[in-house]
Amino acid sequence: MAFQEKQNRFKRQPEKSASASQYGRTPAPIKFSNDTERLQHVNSIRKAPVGAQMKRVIDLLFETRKALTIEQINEACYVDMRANKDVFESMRKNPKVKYDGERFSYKSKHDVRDKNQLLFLVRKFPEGIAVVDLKDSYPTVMEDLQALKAAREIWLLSNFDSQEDIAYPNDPKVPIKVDDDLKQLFRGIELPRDMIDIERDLQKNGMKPATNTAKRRSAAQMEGISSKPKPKKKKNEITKRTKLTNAHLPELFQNLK
Amino acid sequence: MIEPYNKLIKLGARAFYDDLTSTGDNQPKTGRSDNRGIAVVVLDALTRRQWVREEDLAKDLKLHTKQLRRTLRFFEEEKIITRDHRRETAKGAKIYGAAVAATADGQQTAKEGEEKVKLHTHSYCCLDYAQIYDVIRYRLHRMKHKLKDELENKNTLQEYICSNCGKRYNALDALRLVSFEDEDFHCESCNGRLEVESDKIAVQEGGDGDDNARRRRREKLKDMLQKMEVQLKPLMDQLSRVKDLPVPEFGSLQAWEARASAAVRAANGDINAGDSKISQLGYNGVPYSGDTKVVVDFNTEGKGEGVKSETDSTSLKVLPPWMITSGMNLTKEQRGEVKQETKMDETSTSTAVQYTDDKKLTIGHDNNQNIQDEYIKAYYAALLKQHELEEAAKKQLPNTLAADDPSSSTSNRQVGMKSKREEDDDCTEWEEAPIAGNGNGGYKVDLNVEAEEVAADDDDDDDVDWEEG
Repeated sequence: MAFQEKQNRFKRQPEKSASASQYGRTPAPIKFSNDTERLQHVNSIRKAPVGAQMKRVIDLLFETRKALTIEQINEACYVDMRANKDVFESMRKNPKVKYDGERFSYKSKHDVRDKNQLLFLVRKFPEGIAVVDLKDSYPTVMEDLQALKAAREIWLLSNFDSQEDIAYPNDPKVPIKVDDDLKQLFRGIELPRDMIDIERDLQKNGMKPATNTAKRRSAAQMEGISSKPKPKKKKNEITKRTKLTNAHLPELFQNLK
Repeated sequence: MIEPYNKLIKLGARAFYDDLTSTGDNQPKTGRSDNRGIAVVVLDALTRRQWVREEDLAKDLKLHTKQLRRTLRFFEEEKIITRDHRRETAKGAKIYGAAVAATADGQQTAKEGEEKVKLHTHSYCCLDYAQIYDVIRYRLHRMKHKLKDELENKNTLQEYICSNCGKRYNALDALRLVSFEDEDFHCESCNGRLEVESDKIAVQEGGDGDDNARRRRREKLKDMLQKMEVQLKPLMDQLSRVKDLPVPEFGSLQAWEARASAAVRAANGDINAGDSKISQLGYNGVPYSGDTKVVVDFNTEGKGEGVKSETDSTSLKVLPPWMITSGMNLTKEQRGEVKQETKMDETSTSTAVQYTDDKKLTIGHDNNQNIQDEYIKAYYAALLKQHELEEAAKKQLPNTLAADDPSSSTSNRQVGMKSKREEDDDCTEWEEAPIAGNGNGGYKVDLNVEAEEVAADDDDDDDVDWEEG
C-alpha cells in the first residue's frame, strides 16, 4: 500500500514541480533511481532552443506577476539562467521583462495595477487606446474595463477592420442621462429637408435662429459651389412585384405596399 | 467662446445619441461589434477639430473608415455636421495638411511631367455649430409641443391604418380614399378597410373609450413631460448659457483653408502675405482649374497701355516675296499688302513689324504648320523652276537672267537666314548675275529654322549694293 502511494507521488512529481505555485517550496527528496523521468523532462527543457526557454520564463512571470530570482525561476520551470548565458542575456534585453540586477519580473506596456489607475490611463488618451495594449496590465483588467463601460466612465468600441476593441474616456464634466423613450421622441421628430424651414419655424416661435442659410448659399454661389439640399433617394421597398426567394415564409411579407 | 458650444454638443450627444451603433439596420448587433457610443466618440473628437479629412479622423480614432462614414452620414442628415467632398491630387490634399499643420510649404506647383495626375475624392467634415444650436432648440420645442398637445387632446390630423397591409394614411388623403359603396375609407393597394389610429406617444392598453386607459395615457404623458424637464435640465441650462454668445463659424472648407494659410503666412512674418501667388490664383486649398492667360507687357514704363493677352496677337506673319508663289492660299496681310503698325512704346513709331521666335505669342500651332507646308511646297517648286531655267540658260543666254523672276536667282543666301532689304520689295533686282552651274551648291536647307525678318534702314547696308528699280 505504501509503495502504491509512493508511485502515485512520483507520477505527480513533474507536474507539481513545474507548476507556478511550487516555486518557493523545495520538493521532498526522491531517490535518484526513481527520479529519471523528471530529470529527462528537465534535460529536455534545458536542451531546448533559447526562444522556447524564454517563453517558459515569461509565461511564469506573467502568471505570477511577481519578481523572481534566477534560483526561483530555475526551481519553478527548470530554466537555468546561470548555466545558459544566452537565455540570461536575451531575458535581460527582452522588452516584456524587467530586470533590476537581481530579480526578473513581467513588464506590461502600461504600468496599471487596478481599476482606478486603469481609468486614469484611459483618460490620458481622448482619441482612444487599444485594449490589446491594456490586456497584459494585470489579470482582471478585462473585467474592470467592462465594469467601467457599464458605469459610463468609458466607451468600448470594436473596430471592423482588426476586430480589436478601443477604449475611449467619457467626459466626466458632462453628466446627463436621458430615458430611451425621450431619446426616441427627440430622434423621431423629422427635420425639414431645407434648413430655411427650421429657421422660419424658430422665428415663428419667438426664437432667433443662429443659422443664416440664405447668406450661406449666396456665399457658396460666389465660390461656385451649389449648396442646395439634394433630394433624398427613395429606398427600394419590397412590393408585390418583387420576386421573392423565400415566398414560403408569408409572415415576412404581410406589410407589402 | 467655443467651449460653451462644445459642452452643448457633448451634452446633446450623450443625451440623444449615446445608444447609436454604427452597424446598419439589417446587420445583427452582436456582442462582438457592439458600438454603442460611437456617435459620442465621433462628436467629441470633432469638438477638438475644425475641418478634418475623414480618413485622418478615422485613423486618429483607430476606427474603420466605413464605420466612421456611416456615423458621419447620419449626422449630416441630422444637420449636425457639414461635409465636403473634393476631387484632388495627392499634392492638393497636402494643402489641407498645410493648413492644419500650420506650414505653408506644401503648396509647390506640380512638375511639368505630372500633368495627368490621378484625382481621388477626399471627404472632409466639420461641426456646424449654428445648425446644431438651431436643430436642438427646434426639436426640443417640437417635443414639448407634441406632449402638451396630446395631453390636451389636440390631435387635429387624424391618422388611418389599413388592417390588411398596414399602410398609413392621414385625413388629407381622405377625399381620394372614400368609398361610395359603404361610405367608408378603403386602402388604395389592397382595398381593405382603414381604421382610425390616433398618433399617441403613450402606449394604449385598452380601447379609446376606456377611461382607465385614457387616465393611464395622461399619466404617462405627464410623466414624460416631467422627465423631460428634469433629465434635460443640464442641456436647457447650456442652451440658455450660449444664447447670447456668438456662434463659432468656420465657413466652407475652401474659405477655412484660405484663412488658415493666411494666418500661417502672417505668423511666419511673410511681408507679401496678401499677394502670394497661391492666393492670386485662387489656390486656397483647391487646385486651380481655370484657363491660364498669358499676359505680355510691352510697355516698359509700366502704365498698362501696352498690355496684350495671347488672344489679341493673332495677326499672321508677312511672308517674304521669295516664299510666295502663285499656288499659295494667302491672305492680304500675309502678302504684305496691309501694313501693320505696332506701337512698342510712346516714342517708337516703326512701320516694320518685329517678330519673335516665340510661336506662342504670335500665331497658333496649326497656322504655323500650314505656313511651313506651303513654304516647303514653294521651295521645291522654285528649285525645279530654277533647274529648268538653268538648263535653258546654258543653251541660250549663259550670262543673263530673266529680271522678273526672283526665284531663279541662285545666290549663296541660306533659306531661313536673315535678309536685309528695303520696304519696296517688288522692284528690287540683283546687281550681280549668278554664275551658271552652281545652282544646287548654294542651298543649305534647314526646315526647322523659321524665316525671320528684321526691319533695317538703308545706312546699315554696308556690303550689299541695291539698284533702284
